[in-house]
Amino acid sequence: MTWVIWRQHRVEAVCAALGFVAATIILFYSIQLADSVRVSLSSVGQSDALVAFGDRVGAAATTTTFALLCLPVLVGMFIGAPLFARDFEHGTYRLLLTQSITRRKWFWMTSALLLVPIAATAAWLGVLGTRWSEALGSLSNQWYQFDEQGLAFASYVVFALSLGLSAGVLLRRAVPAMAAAAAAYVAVRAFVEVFIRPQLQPAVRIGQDAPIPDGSWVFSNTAYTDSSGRTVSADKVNQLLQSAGAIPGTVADYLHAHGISSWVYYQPPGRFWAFQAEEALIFLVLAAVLVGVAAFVVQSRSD
Amino acid sequence: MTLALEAVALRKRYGRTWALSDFSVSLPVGRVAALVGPNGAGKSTLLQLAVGLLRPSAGDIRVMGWSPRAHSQQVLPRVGFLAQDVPLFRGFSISDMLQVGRRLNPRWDQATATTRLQRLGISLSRSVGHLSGGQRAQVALAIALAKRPEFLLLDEPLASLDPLARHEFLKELMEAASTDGLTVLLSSHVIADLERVCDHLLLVNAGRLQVAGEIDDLMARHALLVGPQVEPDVVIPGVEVIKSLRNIRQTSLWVRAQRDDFRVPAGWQIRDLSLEEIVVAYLGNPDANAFPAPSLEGIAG
Amino acid sequence: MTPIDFHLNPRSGISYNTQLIQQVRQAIRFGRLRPGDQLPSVREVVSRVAVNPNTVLKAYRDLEHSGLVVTKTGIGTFVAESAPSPVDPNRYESLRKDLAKWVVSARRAGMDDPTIMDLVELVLREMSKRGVA
Repeated sequence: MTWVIWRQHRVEAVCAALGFVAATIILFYSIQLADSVRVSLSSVGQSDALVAFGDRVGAAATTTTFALLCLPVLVGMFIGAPLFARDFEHGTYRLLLTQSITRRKWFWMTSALLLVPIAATAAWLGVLGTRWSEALGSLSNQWYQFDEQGLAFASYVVFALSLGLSAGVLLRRAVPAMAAAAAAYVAVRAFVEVFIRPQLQPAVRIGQDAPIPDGSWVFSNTAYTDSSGRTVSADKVNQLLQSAGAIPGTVADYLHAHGISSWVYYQPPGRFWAFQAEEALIFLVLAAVLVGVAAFVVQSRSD
Repeated sequence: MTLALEAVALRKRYGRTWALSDFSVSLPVGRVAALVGPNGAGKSTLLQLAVGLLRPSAGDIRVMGWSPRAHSQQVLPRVGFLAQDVPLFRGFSISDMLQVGRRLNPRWDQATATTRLQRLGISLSRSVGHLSGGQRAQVALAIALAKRPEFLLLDEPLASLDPLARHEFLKELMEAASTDGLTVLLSSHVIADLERVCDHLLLVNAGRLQVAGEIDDLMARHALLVGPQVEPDVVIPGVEVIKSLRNIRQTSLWVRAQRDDFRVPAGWQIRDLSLEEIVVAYLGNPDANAFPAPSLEGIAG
Repeated sequence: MTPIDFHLNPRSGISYNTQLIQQVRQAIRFGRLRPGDQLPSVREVVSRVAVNPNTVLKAYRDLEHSGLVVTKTGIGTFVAESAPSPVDPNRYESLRKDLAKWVVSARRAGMDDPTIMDLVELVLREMSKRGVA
């Protein structure tokens, strides 16, 4: 059966391999560039170094980020979606399922031969991504490359594949499955990143002017409370500031003088890997559910 | 007597349409059976239910005694199937297709398949996409037969073949059928194709089995009676009228003899009906049925 | 194996079984098949003429019943030694002349060719039902 699966999907396998090779090359190049630029700037002052670094590494970094963001959805669309959809669409499932294999075996062997190598390769890319993030060094923040490294990245790839695969099983047509998988991937990823990730662990609250550890993930919105600890809305604060005209000293001191404390929320750097693991878990569980549903449908669907 | 195919009160629904309703059939082994009926009658549905590609909405279907879906591992190795439109993997060569069969089936006779294809002048290195309709059908047949099935089911195998290709296909099929015990069930909505090749007929009409039996028996029992003009309710003893045509001078009756000692009434002529004429008569009269009389074979055998 | 080529006509109104039997009988009658000659195997017939193998089997069985052929299991089907010798050409000619005379009188009675054929078929059918050889 292995031979049959390979022979059926060898074009996709080669394309996937090429895609991963391209991603590896981009990463290696970016890592090497970042390392060498950092070394050459080590003798320069801090703020100059930051600007210079950004100038020379910026383009490569953007390309790398873009490539790694796109990779999961491309894999899901072009490898996952057609996997089963093509056999249904072209009627060849009528040939396959009337040889002597069971539906269960057909589904699991095909899925495994797809998922396992790609998951392994994605894990490898995740490691490279971490290395790249480190290469950008203290001049960048690892939280900015959260999506492009480690367990989280690998889990996105597995999730996208599972989405594609189950869309193919449910919709039975390659193009609609590709579209559905892409749309669903973007929606879920965006949702998790915007709404779930910040809450994975309760954020640390700190006064606005207090020092925040390097490499933290600082949330952009400032929170305000009055002297009794109740929340004050940002609108009220804005009104107060506007009616004040010119403010001597810092905004925080001014607000403090009016009984309002400003707070900033952040996630400390030490939590980075825990966050990676938790987010990866979410996507891996979703992937498992999707694959399970697809298996059930292939086994039990009455047509 | 083993039954190659048995269905009891089989029903299959797609959405709100019933493709098969209360369908029952018993097909003994060793027959070359024709499954005929108009488009949409349920032929393809029945064949796909028999190989487990579909699951019944209600009722029971058994192939060689086993349920095709629940016991696919008992059924599939013993059954060969040629799906409608002959699906083969695009981009595969013929020898690739044979490899697929070899690796997915416990029993595989590669030698017979390659000999057959060579005899037909079909080179194994050719791509499936470059074959004519007739050649595709021959390749699919070779793959189905290389499995050494006991029961071969074909869904409209002749539909898109030119007359020569049809003839060649049927020759190959019959040569394989002359092997002991191979049961064949093939569907078509053109009866003329099947008449010389099949010995058993199943007529499906609007999801129900209307006629079943040995073709020789059906041909012997059915006839066309032509006689003088008679009243519509005149009963001719010993026959059931399937179809009638009257004008002011004569009456034509398509009949089935219910008794072996049936006699042509005086003043009437009788002639044989072709299988196609018999089928057309039944298609025009959905309430009429023709089933074989229960035999004692099953008890004695 | 003696090459006898079967030609089956789907439109003749005669069952394939009967056509096969007739063609074997004819071949024997006209000396193309002689006692001891082997008939093609079922498989051979079927792969040259797309017909149901049972039809061929039955035809061979019927021929065996009529004493025209003999089947030796595992070897094949052969024309029986006791098969009638080819029709004497003279006899054939005289029967032909007799029939021509009869056709003339049938035509004089006003019967056209199809009606004549109907009558011949009716008599043949009746006689075969009564078991007359």
